[in-house]
Amino acid sequence: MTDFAELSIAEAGGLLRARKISPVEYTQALLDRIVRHDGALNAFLRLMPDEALAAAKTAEAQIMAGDWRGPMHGVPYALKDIIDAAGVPTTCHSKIFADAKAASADAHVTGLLRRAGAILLGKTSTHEFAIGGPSFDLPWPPARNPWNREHFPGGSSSGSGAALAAGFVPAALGSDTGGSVRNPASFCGLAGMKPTYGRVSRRGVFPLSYSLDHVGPMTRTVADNAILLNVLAGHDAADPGSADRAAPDFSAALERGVSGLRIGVIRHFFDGDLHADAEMKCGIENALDVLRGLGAKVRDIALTPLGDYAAANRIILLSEAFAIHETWFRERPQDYGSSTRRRIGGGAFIRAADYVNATRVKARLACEFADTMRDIDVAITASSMDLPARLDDPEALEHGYGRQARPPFNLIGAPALAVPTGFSSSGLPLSMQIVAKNFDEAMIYRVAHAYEQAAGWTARRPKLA
Amino acid sequence: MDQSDPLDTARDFGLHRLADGYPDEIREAAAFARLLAQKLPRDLAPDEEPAHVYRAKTAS
Repeated sequence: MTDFAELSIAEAGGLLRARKISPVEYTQALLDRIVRHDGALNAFLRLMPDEALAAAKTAEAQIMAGDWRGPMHGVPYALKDIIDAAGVPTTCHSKIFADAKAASADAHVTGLLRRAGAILLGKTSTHEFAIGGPSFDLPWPPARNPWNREHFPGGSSSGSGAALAAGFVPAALGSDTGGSVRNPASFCGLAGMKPTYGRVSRRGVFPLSYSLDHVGPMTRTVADNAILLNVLAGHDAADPGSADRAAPDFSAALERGVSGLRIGVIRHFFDGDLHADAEMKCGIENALDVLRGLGAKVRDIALTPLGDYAAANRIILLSEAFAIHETWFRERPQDYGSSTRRRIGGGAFIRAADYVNATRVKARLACEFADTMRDIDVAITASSMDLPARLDDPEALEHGYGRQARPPFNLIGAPALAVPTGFSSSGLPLSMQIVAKNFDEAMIYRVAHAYEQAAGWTARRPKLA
Repeated sequence: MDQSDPLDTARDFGLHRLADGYPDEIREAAAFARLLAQKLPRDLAPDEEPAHVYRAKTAS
């Protein structure tokens, strides 16, 4: 008997295409699992059983008629609730939009998945407007980590991360402005890709910061992540940040291995500028040993200190976010959570000169990274410095908020993937980031897949109560 | 960032409800913004232009 919760996209796609499982039974099984377990995890803000089953019936008829549309056809997925789906309200997990009307159109990425035959099960919880959280003063509770529900699942794409780890869906979308795909991927034991800026359209995604926002695929395996990016990537003339360039087949080089590849380790990000937790650091060192054992050439590289990246990222992010929210901050401050007011509120006090200088620093650091990567295939560094904090420990949550190495790659636009590197002694996921030159996501997948196959961490699943 | 009271600054910006309703949060937000500005590198040359337009370098 098929355990639908365990299926990867690759496995499910094969079974669906061969008509060994039906999209309807697959969708129903996952909906049942969500109903059974999500009361303890809060991954979903809105479940869409009727719409999902109708779409599954359509997919079933198409596949039975020989109209197979690709590896996402009939595969269930979830959307972070800042991404529009036609006919469904987008709440951004905020009272500001709690009574929002249904979106009149799909976001570009939602439309791509709809055309690929994927089945939308629902909208997932997030930090308020992808920044304020985890919070208990919003209309819905924050998501919890399936590996230990007392702990933070990462954010801001919290529900997408929790839903994947819990086996509710094999695919989900998140957004990433300072690390919001990669943080829940890191804390929930998943693969989470922030693609190159411009690789995936953001049209129909509620903005946090125009210069730094990315939409990214989240999955349980690296191969699945490549499959999902194959659907999402491509130019969209309606997104001013979209890059007009063709996307390759991101799955094509997965099996080529890492022998002879040059890996640079940005060690000072996690062992100098900041100091990562010992277990987190150990996970990265073990991963580097595995990659050396597979034939990669590993050496340390140096960039500008992490703090410079973080400051420039934050100044741009808060300035642009405040510009978006200013009217509501004037008229409806009481309708935001405290965390959102404290974070976005900072944008009101950033001088124009500092914003401009942050964009100049961004240009400088992007050039430095491109130069450093000239003779490197991928770089590896930490994602989070710490293990996921307990949700009932606001000081630890706040302390961990800035202790991470993800914003540099939002700032410079380079692609970055968070992948699991094992588990702590307390059973919580460990992780690292693999980074590449702009538009070379395929190289990241190649290295990450080789590591994943050798390390085997993705076979482990949390036990749900 | 000047050293004026952030609540006065917020009111100057028309954020009266925010300043009156959440003074501690506004002080915290303003202090964080000030800290960020202090951390920004100051050695930028005049010919270092902003990255207003994204110009990606291709993978070689």
